[in-house]
Amino acid sequence: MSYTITSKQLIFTLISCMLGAGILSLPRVTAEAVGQDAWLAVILGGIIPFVSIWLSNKVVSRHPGLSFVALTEMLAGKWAGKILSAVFVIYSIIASAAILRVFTEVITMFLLPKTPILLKIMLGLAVSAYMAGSGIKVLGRLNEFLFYVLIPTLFVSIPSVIKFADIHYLMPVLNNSLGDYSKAALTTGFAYSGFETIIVFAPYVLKKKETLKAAVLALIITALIYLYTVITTVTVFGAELTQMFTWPTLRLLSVTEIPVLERIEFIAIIAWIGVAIRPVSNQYFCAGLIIKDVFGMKSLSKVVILLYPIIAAIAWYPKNIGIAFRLSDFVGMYSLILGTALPLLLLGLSIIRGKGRARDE
Amino acid sequence: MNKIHKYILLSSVIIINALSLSGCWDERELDELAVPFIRGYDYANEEEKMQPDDKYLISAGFPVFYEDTAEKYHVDITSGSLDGEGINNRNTHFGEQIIQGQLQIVMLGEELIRNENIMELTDILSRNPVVKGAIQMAVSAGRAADMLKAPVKHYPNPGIYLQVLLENIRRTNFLPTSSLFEINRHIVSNHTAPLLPYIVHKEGNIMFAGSCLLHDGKSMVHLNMEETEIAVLLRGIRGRGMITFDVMEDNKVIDQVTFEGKNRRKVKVKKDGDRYIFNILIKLSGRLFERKKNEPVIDNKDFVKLSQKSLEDLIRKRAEDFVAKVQKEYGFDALELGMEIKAHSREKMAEEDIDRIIQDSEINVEVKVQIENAGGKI
Repeated sequence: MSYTITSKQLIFTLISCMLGAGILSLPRVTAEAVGQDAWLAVILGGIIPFVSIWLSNKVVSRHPGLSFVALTEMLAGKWAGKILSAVFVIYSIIASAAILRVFTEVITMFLLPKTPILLKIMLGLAVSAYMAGSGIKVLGRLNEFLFYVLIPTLFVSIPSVIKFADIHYLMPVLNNSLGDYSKAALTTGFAYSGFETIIVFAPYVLKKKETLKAAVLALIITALIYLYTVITTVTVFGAELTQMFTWPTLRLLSVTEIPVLERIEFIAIIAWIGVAIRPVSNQYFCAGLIIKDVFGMKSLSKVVILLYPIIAAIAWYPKNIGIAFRLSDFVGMYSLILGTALPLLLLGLSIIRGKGRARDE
Repeated sequence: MNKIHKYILLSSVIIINALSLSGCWDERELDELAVPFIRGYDYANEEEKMQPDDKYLISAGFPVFYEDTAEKYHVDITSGSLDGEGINNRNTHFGEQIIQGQLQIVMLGEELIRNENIMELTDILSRNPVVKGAIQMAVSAGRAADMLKAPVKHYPNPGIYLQVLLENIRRTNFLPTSSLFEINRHIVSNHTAPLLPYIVHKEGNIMFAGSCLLHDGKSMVHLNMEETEIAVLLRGIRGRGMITFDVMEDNKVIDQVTFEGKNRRKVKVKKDGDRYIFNILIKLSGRLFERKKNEPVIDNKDFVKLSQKSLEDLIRKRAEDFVAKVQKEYGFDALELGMEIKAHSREKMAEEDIDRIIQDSEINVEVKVQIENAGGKI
C-alpha cells in the first residue's frame, strides 16, 4: 500500500467525503430552514467546516509526518490519544453506515424497489470495502476519477432550468431573522460533514505546504456545487414546493423531457451511484486506517473485513426512511462537533505542551 | 492480500452484484407488463362501484402487446375511494404488472374537478418518483372515462392523439398546457389558479374547447377560446400562434390581416401604501401571415404601423375586460401574479392574502406588437 497522495488528490478526496447523498435532499433542508434564502444557508453552512479545516491544518502542519493516531497519542498521551482515536473511529463507522443507508434508500425508491435492503447494503458496502482496502493512493485516484463522473450529472438539470427557472423564487432576499439564519447555517453545516477527515488524510499529502490551499479549494468547490443545486431547484420549484419532495434534486430532472433520452433522472441516478459510494469508502477507509494504527496491525484489508459486518448492521438498523434521515442528521451534528472540537483540543495541547513547529524552530 | 486474492475478491463482488441486482427480486418479463399512458378520473356512479364506499372511477388506457388480439388498445375502468385502492382493485382482474413510468396524460372529469381539490387527486402521482413531473393534465368535457374510449380518426387510440395534440398546441396556438409539476407549483408556491386545457369530443373529433381555471377545489371557471387566448397572453404562458383582426384607420376598417408570432410578458410591481399596482406588458412579435386585400404592404407606408396599433388596441381591450372579470367575478389569482406579489412582499403570504390583493389592486395592461416581416410578398 502506498502512503502518499498529491494535493490535487486531497482536493478530490475531501470533495468526495462531503458530496454524497446529501446533495439530493439539500434543497429541501435549506428551503425548510430559510425559504427563498436557501442559497444563503449554503454559504453560511460553510463557515464551520472552514474553521475546522484551518484548525486541522494548523495541528497537522505543526507536526509534519505524524499520522492521526501518532499525533493524538503524542499530544494527549497514550491512553487519552487512543480514546480520541476511538471517538473518530466510531464517528467514521456511523457516518459510513448512515451515508450507505441513505444511498440505499434512493436506490430502493428509483431503481430496485423489491430487492431487499440488506442485500443492497451488503453489495454497496462490498464495493466500498474493496475501495477502502486498496489504500490511500488508489482511493485518491478513484475520488478524482469519479469526480469527473459528477460533472455531467450536474448539467443534466440545465434543460429544466432554462425552461422553468424564475428568479422571483429567490426574492425577497434576507427575509428571515438572525436566529433563523444561525439555525440554517447549522443545518446546512451537516451537508458538509466529511470535512473533518482532513485530519486523517492531511499527513499523507506529498507537499505539506499545499494542504490548506487544497482543503479550502475542496470546500469552495463543494459549496459551489451545493449552491448550483439549491439555486436551480428553488428557482424551478419555489421554496414551498421544494420542501414537499424527499429528493428535490432528482425531481427537478423529471419536470422536462429531453428528446430521445426522455427520463434523464434515471441516467443521472446511475451516474450518481459512482459518486455516492465515495464518501462511504472514504469514511470506511478512515475507520480502518485508525484501527490499524492503534493496534499496530500490518494489514488494512483485514481491518476492513472485520469492520464490514459492523457497518452493514448499523446501516440496516433504521426501520424506515425517517429513522435513516435522523441517523444522517446525527452524523451531521457529530461531524460538526468532532470536526471543530478535536482539532481545537489538539491545537490547544500542542501549544500548551510547547510541541511542534514552535519548539522545533 | 496478494494480487490473486484481490482479483478473486473483485471478480466475486462483480459477479454477485450482477446476479443479485439484475436477477431475482426486481426482474420483470416484458410481456407481463401493462404500461398505461393515459389515465382518467371521474366520480363513480352506483352501478360502477366495486365497493359500496368507492368514490372515484379511475380509468387507464393501455396498449396491448399480445400479437393475436383484435384490439391493440384497452381501457380498463375500476373504482376506489383513493387512487391506490383503484390500482389495487385493478390488480384483481388484471394479471400484468402495472408500470407507471410511461404515463403521459391525465384527464380529469369536469364534474369531479368542479368539486375536488386537484392536489388531493393527484397526490399519488406527485408522490410516486417513477411518474414524471412533465406529465400533461387536461380537463375533459363530460367524463374522462368516455374521453379515453372515444374513437379518433387516423390514430391508433385517443391516448396517442391527445399526447400529440397537447405536445404541439403551444407551437401553433396561444393555448395553454399544464404539467403535473406546473400545477403543483401554481398551487403550492405561487397560490395561483392553474389553467388547464379543456378538451371536448365532438362530431368524431377530440379538440380543444378553451380552458379551465381551478381554484383550490372551491370552484372551476370555464374560459372560452377567446378568453383562453387572452389568459395565456396575460399569464405569460409562452407560445406561438395566429390572431386574425381588422386593421383600423380613423375608426374605419381598411383591411383584415392575420398575425403569426410569439408572446412574452413583463410585469412591473409598485406599491402605493398597502395597495399594489401591477403594470403588465404583453409583447407580441412576429409577421403578417396573410392579408385580405391583394395589395403590396409597401404601397401604404403606414400599413405595418396601423396593423400593430390595431392589434395592440384589440388585445388591450380584451385583456382589460378579462382583468376586470378576474377582479370582480373570480376573486382569485388567474393572472399568475402570486409569484410577483410574494417576491415583493416581506410578509408571509397565504392564498387568501393573494386573492385579496388581486381583488384590491390596480392592474394596468399595456400591449406592444412588433411586426418584423410581411411574408414573401412585400
